[in-house]
Amino acid sequence: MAVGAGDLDGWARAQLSTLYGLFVLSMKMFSGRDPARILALAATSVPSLGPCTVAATYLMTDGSLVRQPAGLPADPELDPLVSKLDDRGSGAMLPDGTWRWAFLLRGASGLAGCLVVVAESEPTVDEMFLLKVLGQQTSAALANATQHRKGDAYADGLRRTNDERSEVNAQLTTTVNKLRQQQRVHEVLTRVSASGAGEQGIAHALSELTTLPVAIEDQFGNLLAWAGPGRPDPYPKLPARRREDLLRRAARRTSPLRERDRLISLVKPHHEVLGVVALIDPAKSAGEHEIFTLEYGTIVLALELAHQRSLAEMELRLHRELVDDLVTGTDNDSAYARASALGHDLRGAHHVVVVQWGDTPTDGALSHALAHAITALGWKAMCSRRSGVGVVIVRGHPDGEALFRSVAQELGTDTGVVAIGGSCDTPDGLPQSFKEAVRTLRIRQTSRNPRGAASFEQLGLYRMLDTGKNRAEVTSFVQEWLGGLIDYDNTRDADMVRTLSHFLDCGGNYDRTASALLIHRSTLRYRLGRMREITGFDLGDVEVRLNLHVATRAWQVLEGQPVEGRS
Amino acid sequence: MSAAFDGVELEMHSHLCVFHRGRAERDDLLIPFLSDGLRRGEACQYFAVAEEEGDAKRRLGDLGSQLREGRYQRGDVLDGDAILAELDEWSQTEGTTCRVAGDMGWVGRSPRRREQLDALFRYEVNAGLWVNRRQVYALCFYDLDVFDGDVIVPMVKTHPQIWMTGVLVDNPYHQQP
Repeated sequence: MAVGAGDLDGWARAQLSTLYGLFVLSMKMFSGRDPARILALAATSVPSLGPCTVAATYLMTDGSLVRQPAGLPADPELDPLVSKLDDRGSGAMLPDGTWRWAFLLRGASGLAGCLVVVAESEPTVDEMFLLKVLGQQTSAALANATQHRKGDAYADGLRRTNDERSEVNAQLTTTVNKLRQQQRVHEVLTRVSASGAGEQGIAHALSELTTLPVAIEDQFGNLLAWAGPGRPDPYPKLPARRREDLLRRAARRTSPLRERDRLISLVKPHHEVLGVVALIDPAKSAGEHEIFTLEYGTIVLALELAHQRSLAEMELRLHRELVDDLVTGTDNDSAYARASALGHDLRGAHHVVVVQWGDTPTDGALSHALAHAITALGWKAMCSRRSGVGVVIVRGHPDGEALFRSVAQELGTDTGVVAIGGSCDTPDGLPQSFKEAVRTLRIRQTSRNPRGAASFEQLGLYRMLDTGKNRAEVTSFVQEWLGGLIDYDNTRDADMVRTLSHFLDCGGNYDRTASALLIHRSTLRYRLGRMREITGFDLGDVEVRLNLHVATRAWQVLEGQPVEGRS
Repeated sequence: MSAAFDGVELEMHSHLCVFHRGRAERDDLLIPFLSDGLRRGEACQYFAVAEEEGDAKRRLGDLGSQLREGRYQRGDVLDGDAILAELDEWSQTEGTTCRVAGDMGWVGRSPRRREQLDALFRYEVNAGLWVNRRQVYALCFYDLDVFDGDVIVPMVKTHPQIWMTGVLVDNPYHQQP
């Protein structure tokens, strides 16, 4: 303890110890941040500094002094007085003899509050000194609290800014990672597309990028390519109706469709579906990256398939132009060169085949069916289309019946005719072969059986009989010589005309005729006897026999039957 | 050997007003002071607030059984003379150096009546006289989170030494009767 303190008188000790108490109080004030609490602390200290008590406290709030604690009703007498005080504060002796003083609490940024004290009588100078010290300490603490608040707000702002920056950085990192992934997808798929690896290459790239098995199907559901483990064998194929329903549902969406264990995306460069890409994802683990990869892969595949389609169409157009030129007539050298450029060797025997179907939905459908059939039959041929008629130039000797069956199967109807022109060894013979094919087509189409295959070479004698303008005369000739037998066959459901035709084709040989007709020799003999009775013709007469033979050949053509003995 | 408080050596007859913040800071200061005294074989008494009765004994562990616990609150107004009389008898009976500490939280939060504050003031002044007469170290704990200016300013006046924010300072102008 300091020497000499005991020399002070009681007043001095009391004053100094009170000042020391104010010092301790100020430390508490400065450690607080709440202005209302600081003001309350000052208010509770007033009685310990002398005879005064606190009448009211005010805090500056939104530009005006507001009575504390918050929520107290306004004092109509005191509040207006306080609001008009000058910097030094104000004291007054009230009519009832009490003394009142308002201490304005002023900080660095202006008026911060007000402390109003009352006493039964005016305090001494020493007591006023202590009250003023309390007021100054309170003002300083309020200013400090204001600064702290600003500092806290600034720190909060900085913290928020840092948080926002961290969030933005995190978002940027996510975006950059996503862009990197997408860049890789772009690079890998672009490289595959440029390499010409086709559907299989794209499937492998997609599987590598997504770590999922990938299937690429054509529009009908046939597997074009598979990558990754677990390829099903045989590959499942939906029934046509369910397949169409699936494609319709997928086409309505702007993003891949989840279908059981698959995530599928349509390859649809324009309005036509060229195929389907499917991620095999039974665990349903595909996320944003996998979906982006699938969509991007679909675009690359669409370009690939559209390119293939474009090339095929161009090749088809070139084929058609060449076929059109060949059947209308072009020089041999040019024909050889152009055909060679398209991969077809025009040297050697060729035929022109024309095909027409009665109720084909579109020309395109006939062309498509014809192309499929030719591929299936393994023909070396070039196709075109002229006025609803499919035109094919075929190397070698084509099997018309096989082509007819194949096209009929493709189109699902047999209401058509396959007509084969005569053979030619050089391109300049193709226009004639074409004419013959067309003529054969017309003859067959106007026969009683306008469906099936016919060849110009089978027409034989009929080629001279029916030039296209004298059909009535031919019909009349047939009627003149075979009318009686035709009527007999029609009414009795017999087979006289055909029996006669075979008999004449076999040169009148009984055994060969019976064998060809799969009948007994005596049956043949009986039929020939009936023929003599019906017609009155003598089959032994050379003239009669010639006319009957010609008539049966014409009848066969008119009936649309294969010409016997020539097929 | 003299006692120590918060690393500072105390003189015999020390009467400290300890302004702390919260229970944790109080215990960080109180428990080492009491345990040091108990280890030396000194008589120690602690006046706890009612809701913390027995806490100090538990915190002192094995030494806790040697601690005497007192109670300030005996009515609406502090009967300081009775408490000091008991303390005086206790210190005489023990016949050794004594350490006394009290949590003054029992006084309660504001507003407080004038006679309560006057009784507290009288008690602290007389406690100072008693400490000067006996071989005693005394600590009075006042929580700054609990007490306002009506208690803080008078209590500064009544104590010759003040501890606050880690600093022990002398108060040569403390009130003496």
